[in-house]
Amino acid sequence: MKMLKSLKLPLISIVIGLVIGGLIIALSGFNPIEAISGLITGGFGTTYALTTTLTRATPIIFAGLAGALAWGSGYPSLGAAGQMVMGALVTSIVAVVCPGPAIVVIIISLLSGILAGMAYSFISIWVTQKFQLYLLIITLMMNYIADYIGSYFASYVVKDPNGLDSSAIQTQLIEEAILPKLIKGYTLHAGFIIAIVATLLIFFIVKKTTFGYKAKMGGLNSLFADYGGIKSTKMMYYVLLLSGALAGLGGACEVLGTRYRFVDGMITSPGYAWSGIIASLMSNNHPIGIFVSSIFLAGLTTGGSSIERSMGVPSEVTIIIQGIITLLITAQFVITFKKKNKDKQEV
Amino acid sequence: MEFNMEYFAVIVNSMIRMTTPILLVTLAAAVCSKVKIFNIAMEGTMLAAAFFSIVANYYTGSVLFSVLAAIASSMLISALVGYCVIRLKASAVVVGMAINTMMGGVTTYLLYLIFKTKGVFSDPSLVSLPKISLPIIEDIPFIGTALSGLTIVDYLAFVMVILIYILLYKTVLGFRLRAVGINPEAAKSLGTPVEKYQFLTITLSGVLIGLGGVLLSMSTVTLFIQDITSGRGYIALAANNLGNSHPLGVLFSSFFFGICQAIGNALQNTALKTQVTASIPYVATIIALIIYSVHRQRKNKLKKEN
Repeated sequence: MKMLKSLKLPLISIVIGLVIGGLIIALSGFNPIEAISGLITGGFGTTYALTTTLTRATPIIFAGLAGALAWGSGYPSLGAAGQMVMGALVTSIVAVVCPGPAIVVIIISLLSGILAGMAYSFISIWVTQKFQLYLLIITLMMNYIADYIGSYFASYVVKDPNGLDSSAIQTQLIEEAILPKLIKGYTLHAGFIIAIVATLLIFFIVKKTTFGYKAKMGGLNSLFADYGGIKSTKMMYYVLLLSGALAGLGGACEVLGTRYRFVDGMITSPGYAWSGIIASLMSNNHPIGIFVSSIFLAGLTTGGSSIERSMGVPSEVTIIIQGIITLLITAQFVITFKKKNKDKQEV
Repeated sequence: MEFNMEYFAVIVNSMIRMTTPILLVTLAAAVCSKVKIFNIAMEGTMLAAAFFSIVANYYTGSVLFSVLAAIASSMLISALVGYCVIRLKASAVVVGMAINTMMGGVTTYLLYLIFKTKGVFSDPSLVSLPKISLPIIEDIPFIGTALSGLTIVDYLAFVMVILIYILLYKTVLGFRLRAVGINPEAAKSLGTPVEKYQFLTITLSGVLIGLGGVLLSMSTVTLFIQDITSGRGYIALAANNLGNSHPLGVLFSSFFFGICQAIGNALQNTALKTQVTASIPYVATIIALIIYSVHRQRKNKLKKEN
């Protein structure tokens, strides 16, 4: 029952979001029913669509888990985007440079991606904590900086020497050390399995360990937590470093699983990090919920490019739908909350 | 090497042009934070304003209508944010980020639908804001160049600083507004309609954001580019923080960011790579916040010792 109730709000929001999306499409002069059904079949309907969607969902799951860990513990970080970029960049360099058998190189480059995400997160935490600044503003600025660092490295430092198109900003192709495909002929790769493992791991950590409890307390009320013997500064480091590790791993999997190199804008243009935040919001920071919502959001995007190809509807309509769903969920969350309070008062 | 005054004047000119859009948006952030509203949606609001000014510009060819379209769209979006945050008590950060993403989508979607293009739209028929030429001043060597080509909205930005200062600190309304920010509960108990004040403030702050957006799309260049705001809405939050939400403080902090951006642009013609020069404003933001914080901590320490 409780499960059903918590599903009600996101489901209603999704339906309303799709209806408004349909209206926008209709106002633009397209057939809305054809477009929305095209959106759904194009996102989930065929093996090709579904595997593409799951591939796209992989980085979103990592970003969502990273976001949920931070936000659920009360640290409003928007740094996942930058941390993913750094994870992707470092992985792409290590995978090319590192010698050894493929499997060893894969493990080392994934680990280096994780470390890069953590290191980049560390800078934000340190600056925020040491100088008592807003984590939100610092992480936003760090995202822009990460983007330029990635672009700079791919343009000058580790630019693809064999690239035919000299204007393409990308690093050298990784030949051997790539994540295997799960189904032959489709894009879905082993990174998705890693995402499943990460989801279960975070679920376990958040719900079943004292660390999860302490993290929540540390963020919710640092005074109370200090009183209860939980060092909130230390907790902030633990939580946000773990969050950075997840984001870094997400970037690393994207490199080793789909692009096989770092390409300028590969993380920021598809908006993985923001989709991750929406996913965590839709599921109230529940890891399993994030997993499911990420797949839904990814399907929306896959379906969006499908209807752009078949009908000429600009795929950006899915971004608008995502925004509407987010607004509805934050707003409605409060309506239900208010009702509850009212009920309490009346009792 | 001989110091080239004329070149320096050109850089000063570019500093002023870079400052005014940020100044307008930072003023919006300042009035909002005076009534305890954290508006992170300014980035998307400014983007929408820049876009709709170009749409109106294309269809009417009128500067007035373009500016009105920008102001109307940004007031509407600000009112929506206000409604969600104040009435529905939704998280300001989530609402703001939702609006920012949505506006990225809306502008790209409409850009394609209306102009059949993705990325950039520019057209010879587009008009830009009229440049003001000051009769005697423009002949003065250094100042003439420094102030050349500024539009009416650029000047308006500085006028706004004074107007908002007077509004906040010299009128009864301003006193009430500040009271809302200092202690909403107390203000409420004195009969101030807190939520109404907050809602009106954020909606009217949309005028400032709209003007800021117009400066991006119709001043130095007359066009719309995807993500033309490139983080100015976020930088404004930092600038507001630095300027302590005071109109004069905000003037200085906006100048600081304008200078950083102008320096970044000036260095583009040197050996430095674009990625380095383009990241200057963001790095500068973090450094400025750190310096400000160290200064504040030291001050607090001194106070305690005394």
